[in-house]
Amino acid sequence: METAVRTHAMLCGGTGCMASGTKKVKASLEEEFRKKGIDDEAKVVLSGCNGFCAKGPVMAVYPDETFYQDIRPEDVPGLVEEHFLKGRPYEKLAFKEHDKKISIPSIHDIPFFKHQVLVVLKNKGIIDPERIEDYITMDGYKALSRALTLMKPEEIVKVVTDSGLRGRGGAGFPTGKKWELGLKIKSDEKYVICNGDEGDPGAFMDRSVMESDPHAVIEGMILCGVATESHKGYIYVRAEYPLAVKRLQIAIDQCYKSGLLGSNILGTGFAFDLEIYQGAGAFVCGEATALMRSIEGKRGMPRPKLWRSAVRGLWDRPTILNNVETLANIPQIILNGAGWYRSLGTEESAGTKVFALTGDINNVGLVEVPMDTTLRRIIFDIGGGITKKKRKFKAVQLGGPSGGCIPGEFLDIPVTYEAIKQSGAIVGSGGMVVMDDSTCMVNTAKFFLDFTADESCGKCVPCRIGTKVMYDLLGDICKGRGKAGDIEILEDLSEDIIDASLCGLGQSAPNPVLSTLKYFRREYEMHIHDKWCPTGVCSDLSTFYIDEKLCKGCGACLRACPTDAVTGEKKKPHKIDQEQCLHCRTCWDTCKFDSIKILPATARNAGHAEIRHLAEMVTAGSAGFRGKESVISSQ
Amino acid sequence: MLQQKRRIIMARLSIADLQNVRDENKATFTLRKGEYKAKIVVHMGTCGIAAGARSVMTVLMDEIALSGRNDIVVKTSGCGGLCAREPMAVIELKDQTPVIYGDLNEEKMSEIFREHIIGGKPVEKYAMALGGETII
Amino acid sequence: MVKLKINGKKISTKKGSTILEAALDNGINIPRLCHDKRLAPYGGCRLCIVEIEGRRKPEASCATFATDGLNIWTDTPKVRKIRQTVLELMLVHHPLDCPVCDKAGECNIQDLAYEYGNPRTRFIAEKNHALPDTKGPLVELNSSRCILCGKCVRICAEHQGKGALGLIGRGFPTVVQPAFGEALECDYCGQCIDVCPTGALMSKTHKFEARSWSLEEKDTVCPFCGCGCTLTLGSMEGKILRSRGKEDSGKGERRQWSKPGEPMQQGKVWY
Repeated sequence: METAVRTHAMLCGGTGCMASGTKKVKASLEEEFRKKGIDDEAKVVLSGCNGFCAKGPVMAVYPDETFYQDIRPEDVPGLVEEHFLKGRPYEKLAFKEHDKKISIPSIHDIPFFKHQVLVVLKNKGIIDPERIEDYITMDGYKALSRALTLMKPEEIVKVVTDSGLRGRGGAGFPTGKKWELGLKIKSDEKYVICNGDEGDPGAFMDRSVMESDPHAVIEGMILCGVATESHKGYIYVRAEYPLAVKRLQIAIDQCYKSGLLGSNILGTGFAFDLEIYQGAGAFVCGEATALMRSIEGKRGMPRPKLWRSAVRGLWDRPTILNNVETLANIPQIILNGAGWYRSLGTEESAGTKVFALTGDINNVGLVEVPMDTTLRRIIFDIGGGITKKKRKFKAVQLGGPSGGCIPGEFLDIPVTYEAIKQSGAIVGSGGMVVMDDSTCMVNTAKFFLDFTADESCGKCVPCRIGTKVMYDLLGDICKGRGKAGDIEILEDLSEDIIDASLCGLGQSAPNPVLSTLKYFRREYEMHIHDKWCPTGVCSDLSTFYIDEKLCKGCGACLRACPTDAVTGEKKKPHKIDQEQCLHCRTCWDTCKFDSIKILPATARNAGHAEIRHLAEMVTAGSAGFRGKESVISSQ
Repeated sequence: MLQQKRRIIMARLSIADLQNVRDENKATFTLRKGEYKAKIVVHMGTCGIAAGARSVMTVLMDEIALSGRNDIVVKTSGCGGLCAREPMAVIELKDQTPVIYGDLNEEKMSEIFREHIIGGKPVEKYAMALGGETII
Repeated sequence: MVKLKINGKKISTKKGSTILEAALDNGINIPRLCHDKRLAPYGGCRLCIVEIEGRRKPEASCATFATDGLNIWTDTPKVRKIRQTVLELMLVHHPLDCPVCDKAGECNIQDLAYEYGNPRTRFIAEKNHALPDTKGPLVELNSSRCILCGKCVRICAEHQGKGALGLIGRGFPTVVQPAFGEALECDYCGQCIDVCPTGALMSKTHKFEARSWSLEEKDTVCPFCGCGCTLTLGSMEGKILRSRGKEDSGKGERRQWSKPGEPMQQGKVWY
């Protein structure tokens, strides 16, 4: 006889937590349960990604709804003794708000979870992604049953259209419109493709959805098949997501076994076949036409859009391609109706969006919010604000290499397609990289250009050579070889690359440069004219100098310096030997008294008086490029 | 129960089968989503365990399994402060005032389970008080 | 028939043709490097970009269908600026070794750069300096001059059905190469050399034989077999130095070298 289980320890089995040691924690939990003799009433379940990746491995215990973070195997005995035997929260591992001592054991009280609205991720951390029963029990395949028995394809398309759902892969094309076109076109064979080739740096929404709720994606695809009368689907996942591939494959196998895929689905006569195609990880294969070429076994290069994919796509047949997150929304929309979905978000941008929150922020992880949520709420309430106490928010990079960096004045805009676009970025796939004021914006732009130049397929000239030329120009600027006029060249070239490139990759590649130029132009000018990187990131453009008045002689920088460039006696002001300094910024990061100033590279050889004067100007905030005459050259 | 579940999953499902799967697995999600009809909190402080809360808990779990009910949630809590009357348990039916039982043993627990949780009538002879307590 | 306007001129073209085809059929020239009428639209060089009234962005005319009522401008300041930038970018890393390049004089990039190019480049970059691949017996691959229009790769795969050349790598370092960078082994039809808009693919046997402008070219019929393909022979001082196939010469749609292999070998025999 099976004994009833009274408590479930839902241990996160997402890639992030797995990497931090979920497997060992699971083993020791089970071992400990056995030792205490409660292994028949307490069960460890490996769930999909919980979303709170920064604190992994994480675990939610039900029915107590207690959340534990940073669990190490050595903590497990204490945890089992306290929580599972004695029933009180184990304070040591409970969530604590940044810089505060009070622990918050209940999952519903933690700000990170409290402000989220879960639609796509509604099953995250509650179901075991490798058990189809779990998904079915959470009303899984209910939408499919309804669609197959009660709805005509046109009706399904109408519900999706009315819901206002837009493509979550980046472009925000209305999903209903795409499906309508797919249904209208008659063909002997049509395909449904799920685009899981997520490649933006710092984005991991799709991976998490595929890992934590693979059946939702599959149900969305079958529904798309029913709606557009197609019978064959492909899930294109990058091979770098082995866990997602594994869980999707398990889910597909389960579906075939239980008659949810194949011929005669649920006894209704509808047939749908599904297979996984693993991509080799080229970023450009996330572009629809390149993805289709890749499935055909050809070189993954975008095709000029003579025809829409819905007319001629994979193997020149009508193809409906949707993003993972878009498809995972579909079952919910069919089940709860278009009006329900519309009630979330705004008129133009309905529903919720999953964002991958990363960067200099406390709560790195995955968040799902209605699209009318402001950036401030996401970054400061859910994300817990900037990690380092002495640093301030500088910018947030939205939409990956196709997006842009937007500064603090836009923190109160909602994350709708329109508002974000107006600010100079894009919602994109949902990557959100938060940067504090120690970030150099020129260097950030250079990072993204490096990425696009590297990932360009090489087909069209503006993208292949243009991005490289831009990257080289930015590199020159960061190395101190910037010239007057470089900014104008960058802007002019960006315009042509956007106008002339073949696919979305090239058309959006200059965005990081344009947006940083728009909001942080002064920083570019300081790099070019003053040879000065005010954040000290570009080592060729910075001189580190200790302000004697502020230095307390604590010795922290002295100990941290890798080359012994810092010298000085205890409790007396220290000095930096410019000959030995590597400009690594470690001293600046360590200093608690803000006594280390970052001066232009030219200050390295300057006299003491001049340096002092410069340092004072930096402290007063009055230094830096001002029009034609540079402060430095006028010295 | 397990046998039956296997049979359904291995075979091709019909729409009716989907509902069966949902019903069978409901217990799991009663627990995870907090949609329960009855909640039992067994005090498992040091005093409780010393007085035999462990075996009371075991009996309770067995009874739940035997009854086949899938809408009962069992929680543990620490010492209730009234160590002399341990083992203690609080039983709360949905939308009803919780009842605290004290001086429990295996037989009493079985009886309370049948009378109160299944039957819906509090067992007054073992009850100590009405009213809940804050638990995690 | 589809009716549209290009540069204010009313023209008509058959349904399903692209804007570029419509323009060329009506005597309007649009610069292009990766287009070949025998091949599927590629849209790589971005030189054939045109402005269409009512569209947000300029479009590549080789990859946009001509539809009724379009009003197209092929030579606006915006379009000229984009072409200039594209050509400038193509030449940033190009070795510019025209003085020793056999293509000089009949090189499409040279001609376009002359027409559109800004004499001053805004970018300073290291020139490509990869040594030519001379492993094959007849074809020399000079990847440093290559602009990756992909015509050689496509004519070999789509038209000749051989697929001896491929694009290897991604982004800027992409090169045209035979499999595994080995010697080119194919039928040596020479179509890749003919379609190359620059001096990236050249006949090894013709190397340093004559400047293109000193060759006297005459069309003739290949004597090798009964197919009767048109050949263009280049001679200097009474000696035949080169044979090639020209686009648009020959019998209708069927190109001169319906039988692969011969012309190249013949040419070799002749000089």
